[in-house]
Amino acid sequence: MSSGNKTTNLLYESHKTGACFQTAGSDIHEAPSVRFGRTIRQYLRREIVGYPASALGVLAVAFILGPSYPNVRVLTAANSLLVVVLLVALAWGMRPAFLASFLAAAYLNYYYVPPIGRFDFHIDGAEDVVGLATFMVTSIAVGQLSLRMRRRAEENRKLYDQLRATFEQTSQIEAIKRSERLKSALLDTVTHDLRTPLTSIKAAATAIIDIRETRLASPENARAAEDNLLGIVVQQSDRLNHFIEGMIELATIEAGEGKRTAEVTAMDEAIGAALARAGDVLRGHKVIVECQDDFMAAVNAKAVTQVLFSLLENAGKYSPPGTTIRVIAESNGENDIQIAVEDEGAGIPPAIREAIFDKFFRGDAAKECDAQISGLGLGLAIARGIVAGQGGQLWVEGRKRGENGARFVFALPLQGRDGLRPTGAEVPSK
Amino acid sequence: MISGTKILVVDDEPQITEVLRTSFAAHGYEVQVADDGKIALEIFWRWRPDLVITDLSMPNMGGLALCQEVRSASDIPIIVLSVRDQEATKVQILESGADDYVTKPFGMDELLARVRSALRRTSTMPLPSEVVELGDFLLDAAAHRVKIKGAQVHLTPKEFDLLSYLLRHAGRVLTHKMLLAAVWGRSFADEPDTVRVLVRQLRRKIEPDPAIPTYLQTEPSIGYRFEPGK
Repeated sequence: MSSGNKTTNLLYESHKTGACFQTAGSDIHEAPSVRFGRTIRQYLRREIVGYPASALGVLAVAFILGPSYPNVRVLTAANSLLVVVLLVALAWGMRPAFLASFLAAAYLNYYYVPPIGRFDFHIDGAEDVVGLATFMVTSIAVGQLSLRMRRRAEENRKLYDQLRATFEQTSQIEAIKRSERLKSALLDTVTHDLRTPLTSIKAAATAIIDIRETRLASPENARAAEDNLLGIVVQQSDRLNHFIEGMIELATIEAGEGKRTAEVTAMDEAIGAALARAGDVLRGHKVIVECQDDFMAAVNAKAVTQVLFSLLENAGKYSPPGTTIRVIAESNGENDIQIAVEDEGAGIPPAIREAIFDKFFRGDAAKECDAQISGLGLGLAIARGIVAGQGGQLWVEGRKRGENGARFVFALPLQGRDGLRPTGAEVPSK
Repeated sequence: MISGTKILVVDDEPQITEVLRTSFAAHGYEVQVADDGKIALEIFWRWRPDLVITDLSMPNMGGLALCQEVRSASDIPIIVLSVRDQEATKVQILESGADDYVTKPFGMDELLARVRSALRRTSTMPLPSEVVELGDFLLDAAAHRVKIKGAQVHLTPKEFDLLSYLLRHAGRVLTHKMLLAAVWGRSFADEPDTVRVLVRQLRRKIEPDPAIPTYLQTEPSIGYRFEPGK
């Protein structure tokens, strides 16, 4: 139902500019927990933390090796301390690693360099020099490496941030642009659809006044002209009302979205009602209905009729007189019913198969295709809104290979949980 | 004079052409309608109307193209039906030869008045004579003299040229560019300010109240229209 929702939502988004970029940008924002984790990591990575960590590391070695001191060989102790220095250098860089180095050297000095059991601060023994040097070299080498790594990571992060900011900006601009475009297209459509009948009404009404005031024509002629003009006023008022009702319907669908009502419906009756309503437009066409007599389904009958009416009206308008229009109702798997309207018109080119459902892109569509198709009005947008409101889908496709024309299909899920299934039609096991 | 005058109405909205057809017919005009520029042009060549009323946006051939085609073959008045947001097109269409425009939605009385005024203009097309007498105005080109309701008014040469052009095109909507070309002989530059300054000067001399001009009226964002009075 996503695409259907989009269609109707667009109307609202275009009113409240800016509502849409939150959605556009939301998936690139991080979750708060991720950000919190990163803050903690950054805090722990600070150099100042490295010094106590060095002391703790050496103390840990002392704590582990200390109790069995005389049995631990100098090599084991030195290697353990080297690991501590290495880890400190890796995590906090060179300077905290120096501290670790000195502490490690002091530890070795205390336990392994005679006089055992006390510090001898004269660094003159080979063990002292080699030990300290090893620790220092490790500190410098690893410290430098990790610094470089961290710098690169930092750079990458900055680049990534920049990229993300740019991306967000672009999508915001895109959203604003789209919303602006929608707004102006909406305004165009609304003003055109309101102004055209209004122009006729005003012209006709003022013409009647003019005829009465000037008394130019003969009384019979004046009477005939007045009747003609009044007829236009009535007819155009209806057209205005029809348009306004369409807008209200669209708004109602949007507001009541998700509220689905359903009753067990005889599909042939729903189809019959739609055919009766579209009678005028279908007069020149041959209509074939393929629906089993006892096909019952738990759907919103009003919705089915309304949508079907829109599709039939379009099929009648946009396919040549004398051609056949086919209505096919069937169940589609266990949970859906599917109703298709096929015509033998020119068909809808794949490039605009989505656009035609979006009334507000009519202007663009009109540039791409012939004038007839650009005449598609609110009908399809409303139809898609209704279908989406019932949790279904409405789309258009080409007909079978080798056949001309368009095939509009809508699928509706069956409502209710227990036992509301199509009773008549066999559920095909696909 | 009216009866037998042929009007061609062009609009792609059938109910609008129907209203116009009914109303003009009631006034004794002969009317034919077309729903796009192509058909209109066919009727134009076959039927030779005295006046064309056309919508701007139509399929196949729009009002602008129709206007250019008709103008290249004939001097008959053309009145354009437009909507308010087609300002740019309006200027273009006036410069390509239309005489006037009426904004939708319009009152029939207004359109009828414009039609009458446009037809009057063609039937009494002022010859490029030395003396023009129209409404409250009397202009003598040779003597370089202007009288309004009999009272003499002194004008600078540029003001005189402007008034002379306005009088010869009374009732028509004239764009800034058209006035610029007529008075300064320049058609290349778009300098509405130049025109505006001169119009203000002229208004001070010819209008009873320059703040509420009755003769030299402003057509917002298009140009001016000159009504010489009864």
